[in-house]
Amino acid sequence: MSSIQNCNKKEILQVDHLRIEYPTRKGVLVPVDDISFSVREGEILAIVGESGAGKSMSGMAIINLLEPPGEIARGNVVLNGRRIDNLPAQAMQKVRGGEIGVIFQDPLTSLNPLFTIGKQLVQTITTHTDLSAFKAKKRAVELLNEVGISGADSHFDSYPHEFSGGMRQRVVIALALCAGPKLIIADEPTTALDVSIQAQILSLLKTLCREHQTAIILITHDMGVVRKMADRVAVMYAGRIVEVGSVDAIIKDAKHPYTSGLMKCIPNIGSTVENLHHIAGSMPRLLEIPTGCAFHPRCSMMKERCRTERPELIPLEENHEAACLLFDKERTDA
Amino acid sequence: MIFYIGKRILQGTVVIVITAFLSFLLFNFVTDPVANMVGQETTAEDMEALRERLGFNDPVPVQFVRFMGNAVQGEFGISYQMQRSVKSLFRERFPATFELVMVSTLLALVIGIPLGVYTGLHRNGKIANGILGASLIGVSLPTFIISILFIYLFAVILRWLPPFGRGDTVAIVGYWTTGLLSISGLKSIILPAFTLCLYQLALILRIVRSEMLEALQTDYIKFAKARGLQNRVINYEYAFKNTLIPVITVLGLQVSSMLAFSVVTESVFQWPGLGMLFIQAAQFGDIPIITAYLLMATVIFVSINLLVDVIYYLIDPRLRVPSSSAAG
Amino acid sequence: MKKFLIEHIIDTDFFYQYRRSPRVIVASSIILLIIFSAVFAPLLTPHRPFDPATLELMDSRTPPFFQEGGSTTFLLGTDDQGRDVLAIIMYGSRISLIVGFGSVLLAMVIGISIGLLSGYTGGWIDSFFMRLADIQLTFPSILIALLVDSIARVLFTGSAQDEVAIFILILAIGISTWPQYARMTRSGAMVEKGKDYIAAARIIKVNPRKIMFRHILPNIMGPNLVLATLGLAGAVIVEATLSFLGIGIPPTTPSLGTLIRIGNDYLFSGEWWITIFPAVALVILVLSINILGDWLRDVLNPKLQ
Repeated sequence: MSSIQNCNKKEILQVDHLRIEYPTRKGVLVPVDDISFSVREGEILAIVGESGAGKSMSGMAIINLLEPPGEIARGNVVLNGRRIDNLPAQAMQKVRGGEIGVIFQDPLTSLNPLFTIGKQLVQTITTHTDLSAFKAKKRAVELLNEVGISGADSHFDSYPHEFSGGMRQRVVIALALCAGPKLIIADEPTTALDVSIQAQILSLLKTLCREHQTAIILITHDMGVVRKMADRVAVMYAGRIVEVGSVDAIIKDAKHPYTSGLMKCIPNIGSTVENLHHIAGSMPRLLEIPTGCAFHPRCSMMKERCRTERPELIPLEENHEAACLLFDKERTDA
Repeated sequence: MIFYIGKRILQGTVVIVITAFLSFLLFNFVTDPVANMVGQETTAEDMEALRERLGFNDPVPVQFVRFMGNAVQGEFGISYQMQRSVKSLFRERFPATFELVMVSTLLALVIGIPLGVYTGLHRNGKIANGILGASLIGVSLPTFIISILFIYLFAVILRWLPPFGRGDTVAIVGYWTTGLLSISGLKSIILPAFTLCLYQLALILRIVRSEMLEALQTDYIKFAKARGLQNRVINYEYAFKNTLIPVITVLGLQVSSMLAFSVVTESVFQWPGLGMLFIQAAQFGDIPIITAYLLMATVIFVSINLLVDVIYYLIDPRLRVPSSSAAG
Repeated sequence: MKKFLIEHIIDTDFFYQYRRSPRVIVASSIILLIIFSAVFAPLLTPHRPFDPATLELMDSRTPPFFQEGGSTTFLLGTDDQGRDVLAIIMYGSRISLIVGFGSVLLAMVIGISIGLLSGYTGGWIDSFFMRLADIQLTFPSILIALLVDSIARVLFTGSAQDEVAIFILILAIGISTWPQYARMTRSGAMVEKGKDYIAAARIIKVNPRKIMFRHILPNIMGPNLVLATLGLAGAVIVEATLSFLGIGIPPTTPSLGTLIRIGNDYLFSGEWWITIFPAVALVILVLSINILGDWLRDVLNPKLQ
């Protein structure tokens, strides 16, 4: 168990030893292997890692929307004290969009091109609340205003293709917030947008969530986004969480060799470097995950133990854990 | 909107004119029309005189204009084989083909679309796979084989339905005769209509299914699920509606296709329509009928395509706005 | 080395999917069987069905061996002239397959060339050909085949018609189906054109024709193969239809469609086998091709993986 108690906020989401398996003809792939983390009310947790590290899958697993034949093999997901990974389909449908909202990467393909955005909003609202059609429409207009779509009344009857990318993503945010969820899973919410728009969308997201005290799980590979948005960060590598801590701790004081290597790769504007830093090798493919610590083949501080023992998340200081045998003080290595 | 439609009409007109020109060449130059009109004993001088009189020695553009003028009125001369005016023959046969094609299209849609949706939603179900297998056979069976089988089964062995002809027809509104108002007429249309619709039914089924499957994979369906929308809404309003656009495209092709295949069905069932007329013309080398059929078919197909484009336009909002109107 | 190659093929994804699909194995085996018997028909049949010298009129109208009056010499019975039905089915499949393959080949040659040229060159050449394709696509292909066929028949009358019939049909069906290959190839070529390896080839001034045929072509053959397989089924059906209607292959060297037409007259007088067996053969052939084509489409479609 990895939960670290922080002062006042209660935890609304707990993921415990989650393992996702994906049977293929070449064998069973394990894109997510025993991860555990928690999210507190109103907090923004960023899950970072390279492509293929298992971040999106983790997000989808939480709302049980894995592509078959992928499935949750072990572990559980607890939302507000209630287990949600094994709910029957009907009940899960209520959770999705109701208690947990989702934002995907590409707003153009996320919205149905044949329906007006107003209709899509009203549909979602009436599915999760008891509002009448008339009241639902009012609420939809309110939401549109909240996300900054001015002249919301006239835009109610517009189609998605009539909007620009940034406005579409605002609509998507509105759709995610429809039923007042306590948690939002945002999977690369700004990757498909222009850089100039990204900042706007991110600050909109942050403002709204602070206002409504909605927690966010922000899945991204962009450290700039992390720095701007996150309260805490979990770093994933080859389907495992290798380090988790407050955003300051991770960025300024990374302890795990992978994380510190990652931070060194990011050049600072204004500084000059001779060569850009890189970590030798690449993340292993799912069929070739090394035994023991998944990072050991590329680690400059590898010891013999690392080949065979898989490290657990070890608490380092308050609100900072790393999965590395370097910090395993109970058994000093030879 | 006007611009969109106007462009389509222009394209269609071009197609018609080109085909008309080809028909014209066919009509006047492939074989000697005069030689085909007269008996064996006519002398060369008489034939030349006839040629002059009928205007076959005029310059080509003049002849073309005359041809077009006649065509617009439905005048294509006399059929070599039947010795009657092409116009009267067409008039007589058109209602039969029209009824056949309409009934078939209706059947194909009414049965094919629901089955397609069903098999799309239940991708791995046993019944769905059974239906899919049957549709594969439907696509593989040539129309004429189905026709023979049907006739053999229902007319010869079971004797439920008549093997040939159109039954009793009733004349309504001018030259139009319909077989749908008599019992024998209705009985007669069942076999040919079913035969004709089977291929298209199987095709529609497979297309609807494949579109449903593809729609269900899209991001907006994924997002709809992530928003917790109910299955009923997702399947019918989101997925199905998005399959309508490709289906409508295919629909236009379907009617055109049916018109083409009616040629076969009519021949086997001795259904007195334009198709049978055309086959007899093809066997005999009856140029006037072939030409007239070609031109008529062109006009029909172009019109159908135009209609499909209009419907497309009404359904898909993306086509209405020429450019994006909103700002950042 | 050879063993290694075979192992390599067996190990591919393609073969794996093939092994897993029993109906596809059955279908492709049937097709191979039919092709085999069509090619080697003269060696397999007890007599030459179209050589009058080998026929006995006494044998005519024998029922198939499992019915009363039949014999095992003529497994599927004989027709009105004493020809063994099984034999004429084999010979008939020959013609059907020749026309089928021939027309698909023709359509592919025309369509792919135009598609490559159109997609790679662009500009007014592209517009022209695509407009042409669009115009032709307003009409159902069977109608085009019908028209080309009837017009060609008018031009060749009498016995010349019979000799040239195969070529007329190949031409008619080939012409009626080129647009789909052109369209498919064109969009593929346009996609490939934007890729880096083509840009590299252009920079070093490789001849455009070489670029089109040696670089782009192999990469777009996949979908074209699916089209070709399904197109083969379509071509066989169209040929059979035209022959059945009497404007296709003549009875002197009949195809399966012609056989069905001839046999149809005897259906009502009780000699059902003369038309039913060729019909069954035709259906099995087309069905097998369609199954193969369907499967190919699923396997080669990256989206449905």
